[in-house]
Amino acid sequence: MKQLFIAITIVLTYILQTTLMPEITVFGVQPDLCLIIICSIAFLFGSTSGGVVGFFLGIMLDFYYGRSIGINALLFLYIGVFLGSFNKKVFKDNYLVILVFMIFTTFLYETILYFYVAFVYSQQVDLLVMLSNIGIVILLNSIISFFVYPILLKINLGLEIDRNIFSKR
Amino acid sequence: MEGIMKKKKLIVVIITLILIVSISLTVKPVENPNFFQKIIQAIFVPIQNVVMKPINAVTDSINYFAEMKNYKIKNEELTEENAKLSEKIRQLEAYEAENVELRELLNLSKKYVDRENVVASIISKEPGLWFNVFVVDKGKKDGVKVDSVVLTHNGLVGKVVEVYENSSKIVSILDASNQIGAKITKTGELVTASGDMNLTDKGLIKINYITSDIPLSEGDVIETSGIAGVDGIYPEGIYIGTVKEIENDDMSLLSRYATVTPGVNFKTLREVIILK
Repeated sequence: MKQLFIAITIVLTYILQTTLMPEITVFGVQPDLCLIIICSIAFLFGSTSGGVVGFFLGIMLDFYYGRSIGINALLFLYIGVFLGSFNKKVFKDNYLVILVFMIFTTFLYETILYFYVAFVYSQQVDLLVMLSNIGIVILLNSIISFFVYPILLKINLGLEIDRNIFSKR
Repeated sequence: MEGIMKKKKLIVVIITLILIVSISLTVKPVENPNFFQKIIQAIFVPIQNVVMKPINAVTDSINYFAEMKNYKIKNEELTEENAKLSEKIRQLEAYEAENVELRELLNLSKKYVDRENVVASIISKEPGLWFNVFVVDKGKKDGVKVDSVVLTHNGLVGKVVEVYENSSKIVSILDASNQIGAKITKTGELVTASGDMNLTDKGLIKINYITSDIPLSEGDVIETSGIAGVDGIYPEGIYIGTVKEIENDDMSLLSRYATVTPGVNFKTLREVIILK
């Protein structure tokens, strides 16, 4: 059940990220659904699920861009594994804690990627543009995760009850 | 339990090493998509194609209502412009006839407008912040090739970087990797227009290193030069955009740079023309 849910989540997230998200823009900046999903899954299901979702979403994005294949996979994998390690340590229904972690990882991910692209294509670094863009992403991600996280939380609880019933048999 | 943890850590380490090798090998765009890319493309293109349609319909209708109040003013402006343009067309037709004659005399090659082309719809768009890539629904079967030039009637869009059976991937001129041999239409001075990652969110591109002896003013038209060197795939005379601002370079006192507003609005782009 859990594996199937994870697989469907990966596919759905990828499709929405390449079709719907580019249409929801504020000042030309779009939300990053992948990060929202990776953070949520890692928190709710632990390191392994977080790492798997991170790796697959990342590698699919890398294939989409068709260059520096692995950069997103690498960053997403570590985000998933790292946030997953808090799985047992935080209250899952405390949305604020998750939000803080998500803001932190979004900032880290976009900053690393910005400097990577700036380095590879020898672009001038403009910290103001970088920070304002990342700020908008964080804002959009916070709004979207406010709706997405409770859904995933419910599914997580449902799956956990499922598992408990099966293990008692 | 500890054994499983160790095994998982080992897997992460191995994946990390593989990814680092892969990143360093594929810094430049790969021309031949790999096996996995082909599979993902084959699975997702039909789905994205279906999903994109209602999304486009909704955003189009939102735009329609948002722009409604401007329609009347725009209509008047366009009627006026139409009258002016009709007059101009009459003039240009005379020039065209003359041009054809002269070209025949000089044995010049055909311009890009005479090249065969294919119209393609966008089925998925750039998923991230710093790269500008999108996928269209025409591929190898329709005669699209790597480095095919992509444009609309509003101007240059970009070039094809990967071709699949029924789809192809396009890198737009906004992308940091794009360097276009361009010229200032008014004076014929050659410049290089390139994507800039700090301008992509505003939908602008940049012309770097304009020395002070090149006359350039705001509103000047920029088009492709067709000269090989930077990126020689673009034929001559495709409209790129108009100069928005000219600023002094922070790095050197001798040169300036200009931001250019492309003729194409990338946010509302739905269909493109690919030159074969």
